[in-house]
Amino acid sequence: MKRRTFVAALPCMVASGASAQAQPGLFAENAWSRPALARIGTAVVYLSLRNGGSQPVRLLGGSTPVAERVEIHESVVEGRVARMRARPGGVVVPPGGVIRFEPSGLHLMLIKPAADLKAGQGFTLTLNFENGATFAVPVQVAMREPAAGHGAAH
Amino acid sequence: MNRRTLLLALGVGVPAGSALGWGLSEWMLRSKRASAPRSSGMQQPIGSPFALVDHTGQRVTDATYAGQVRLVFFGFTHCPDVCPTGLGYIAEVLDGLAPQEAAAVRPLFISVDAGRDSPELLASYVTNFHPTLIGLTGTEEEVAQAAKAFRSYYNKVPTGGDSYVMEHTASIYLVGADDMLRGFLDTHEPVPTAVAKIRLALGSAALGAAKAEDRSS
Ligand SMILES: [Cu+2]
Repeated sequence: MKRRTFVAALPCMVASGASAQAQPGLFAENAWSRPALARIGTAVVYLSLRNGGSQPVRLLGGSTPVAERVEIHESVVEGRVARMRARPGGVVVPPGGVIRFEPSGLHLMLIKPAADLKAGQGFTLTLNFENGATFAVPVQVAMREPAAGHGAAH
Repeated sequence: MNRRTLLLALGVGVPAGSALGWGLSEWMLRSKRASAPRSSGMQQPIGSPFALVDHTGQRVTDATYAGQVRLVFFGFTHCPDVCPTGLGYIAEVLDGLAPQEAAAVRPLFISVDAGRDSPELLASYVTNFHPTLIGLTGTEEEVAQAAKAFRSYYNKVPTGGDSYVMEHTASIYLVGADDMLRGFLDTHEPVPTAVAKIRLALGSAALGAAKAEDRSS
């Protein structure tokens, strides 16, 4: 509850120009990333996508100045074994629904970060939707999920 | 005072609930083991032998950490999601312990990616999470033997070109000072639950509670 208030009060998502019209009521919340080493070549972004509109929205991927590519992946833990698979078809956010990109689940994977990502720094991630809409989301680099404890709303 | 507050804060709901859950899962595993004797249960010796190199370049073996409570997590540095989540959780749990308790726990991150995870790369990686975290790697054979010692699974999955990811057992093993598997930490559980599990393994839970009671009476 507290978390949602915090999120609502914070303009986490900035609609970029014309695309704001294309997708009213779509919010990206709590976007954060973990510290990462450029030489290792992968980084991650977590966020929640809330669709307050009346139409389903499909997220196809994104881009960011801090990495070569952004892909949608999903980690699946089955029988104690963790696997990761790409979701090239993207992810649909149903009307009135929320899709959470969160640790050990759906995540946005940054391929080949240009430089190390350090806790406390911020960057922009642009989300690309099937309907042509794009959103620039500010992302915070942190060791753990900011402003939310473990075991918050599952 | 600090410690007492902590104990009081954890005192009521969490340890009772988690101890119950812990006991229950152990019991379930035991009864399962009775019918399926080959399933990997609790209270079995685990984690030997192995010979690896730590992130400072020192050769180590299972004997290096024998007699100490260990948290053991298999993974690889190129893992963007599950491994940082597990290691971040371990870091939070270590910080949830009293300093003298944390000092008695050896957190081991064993790489299943011998091809890419040099000791030097591990050093720059593990220290990001917690100063006491120990990264271990080795040759393909050494890593395979370490995984076998923990009955842990991993497999290389090509992802196009010369890139690949590793699928791997994602459990965080809790190994007692007696080399027995005490159970697993689960990153979906609240940190105090993991702290309570480790205290049980350290044998300090009862001691700490008794002390708090002494002080309050
Ligand atoms: Cu991924």
